[in-house]
This record gives sequence, structure tokens and C-alpha cells, in this order.
Amino acid sequence: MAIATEVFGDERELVRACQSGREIALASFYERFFPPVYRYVLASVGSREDAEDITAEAFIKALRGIGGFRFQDESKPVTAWLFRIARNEVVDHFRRARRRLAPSSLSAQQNDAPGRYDPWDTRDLVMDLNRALRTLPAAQREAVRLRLAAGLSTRQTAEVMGKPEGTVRSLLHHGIKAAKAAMER
Amino acid sequence: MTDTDRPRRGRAAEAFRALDTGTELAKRRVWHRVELSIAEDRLRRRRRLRWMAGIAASAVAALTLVLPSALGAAQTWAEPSAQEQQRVAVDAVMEMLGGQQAHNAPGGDAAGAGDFASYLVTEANTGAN
Repeated sequence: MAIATEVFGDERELVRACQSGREIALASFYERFFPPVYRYVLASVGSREDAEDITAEAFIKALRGIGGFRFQDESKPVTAWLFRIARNEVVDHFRRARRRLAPSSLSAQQNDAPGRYDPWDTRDLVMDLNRALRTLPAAQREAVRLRLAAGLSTRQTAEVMGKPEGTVRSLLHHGIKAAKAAMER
Repeated sequence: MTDTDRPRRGRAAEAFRALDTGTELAKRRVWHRVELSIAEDRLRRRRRLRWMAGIAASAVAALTLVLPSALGAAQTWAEPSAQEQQRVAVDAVMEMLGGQQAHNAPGGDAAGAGDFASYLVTEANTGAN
């Protein structure tokens, strides 16, 4: 069943409609931002099942807190705010997982994820990408996840990371090279 | 293709493409949970509003009941009793009569002046009524 949405002119209009509590605006917000957030989370955790849980939590928190979101200036758009929520959820996930399980059993559990979450048999590829990205320094890893996995522009990536665009370009250049090398190994 | 774009060949390229697979299905699956949570939030907010309205209504009802009797009690407390009014009036009459009249009062002594003043006040009150 398709999600009922409405077309909003720009981000501000959409956020304002969400803040007024219109259900169709909340659905449109979800529809617009789900794909990049989900891909970012999937690249971060490597398991579709966990990615769905984390993305759901991130959107629940975002839609609950959107009433308090304020457009401060152009450098702090809603994308940056939303991705920060998603990143915090990913961090919390790993913190909880570390408390629950030893790292070896964690990756074993992720490899044993039920088939209904990945009927396309891409599990190994996603896990390999996740492993390759984990070998990168934190800033490079984050830049690659946001730009290449989530599909954000270099500018949006810079906004989320709170770094100048030039720095992000450099991080991406080195990060992509290292990720490719790690994957082909 | 710039050096900040996705790789186009090799296992890395395949892996990034794999991230795009199944997004639509995941979106629908996750939406059910998000939608449910939004509905639960709305229900909780409505319940809280109803509860607060109930509390406010109870507070107003309690004030409506308590306030008149509290005001009555305050009024009674602020007004002097009949006994006090009598005493004040007797003192005033005593002061008006002065020592001379007090000696001429029935009984003929200073102690009897009080009784005489009381008598005058009581008579005046009875006459007024």
C-alpha cells in the first residue's frame, strides 16, 4: 500500500506543515527523507533488519521533535538535523550491542539475519562494505557514508558534518580510495 | 565522474548499488511502525489533555463549593460579635458619663457605673429594635 503524501514546495514549507501537525505532511517528510537515511544507516550497521529498526527509531524521534526544530540559518537545514538524529541512533545501537554481546558474536548474528529482510541476496555485499568502511578513519567513514551511501551532495555532507566543503572533498577523495582498496582486497 | 562520486566498477560499486536495493520495501515496512507511533502519540496527548481538563473542571467545582462558605467564615471572623459590640458601646457610654454621672448611677458607686452603662446600652438597643 502506498503512503499518502502531498507535494510541498520546499523544505521550509514541508517542515512548517509538519509542525502544524498535519498527518499528510509527516508522511511526506518520511517519504522524502527515508531513502537517504535508510541507506546511511544500512551502510553503518550492515544488517537490513537492524537498519529498519534504527531508521524507524530515528524517524519516530524526528517526527516527535520536529515541533521544536527551528531554521537558524541556511547552514543548518533540516537534513543536517535529521542525519544527526540518525547518527545518534546508530551510535546508541552499537553501544547497546557492545553491552549485550562480544564483537565476534555480533557479526555472527548480523550474518545470520533472516532472509525476509534481504531477499535480493545482497547481505554479503552490504556486510563487506560495512567492514571496509570500518577500516577508515572516523571522519572519512562518515563522509563516505553520507555522500556515497545516503546520496547527499558534497554541500549537504559538509552541513551534516559541520565541516567546510573543501575538507569534505578531501575526506571523500581519500575515503573512497581506501574503501575501494579494502573491498577489492 | 568526480573523485567524490560512487565507484562505477568492481565490488565496491556493486556494494554501493546493493544499498539501493529493497529501499522501497523497507520504506513501507518501517512506515507501519512510524505511523503506529504517531497514532499512539496523538492518543496519549488527547488523554493527557482530557485528564488536565478534568483536573481543571474539578478544581473549579471545588472552588465553587468552598469559596462561598469560606467567604462567609471570613466575614463572620472579621465582624465583632454581639457581645463585643455591647462591650464597646458600654465603654463609650462610660466615657461619656464620666466620673460624676457614674456616682449618681443606681447603686451609687464606681462599680455600679458599669452596670448603669450596660443598662443604658441595652435599653437603647431594645428601643432601636
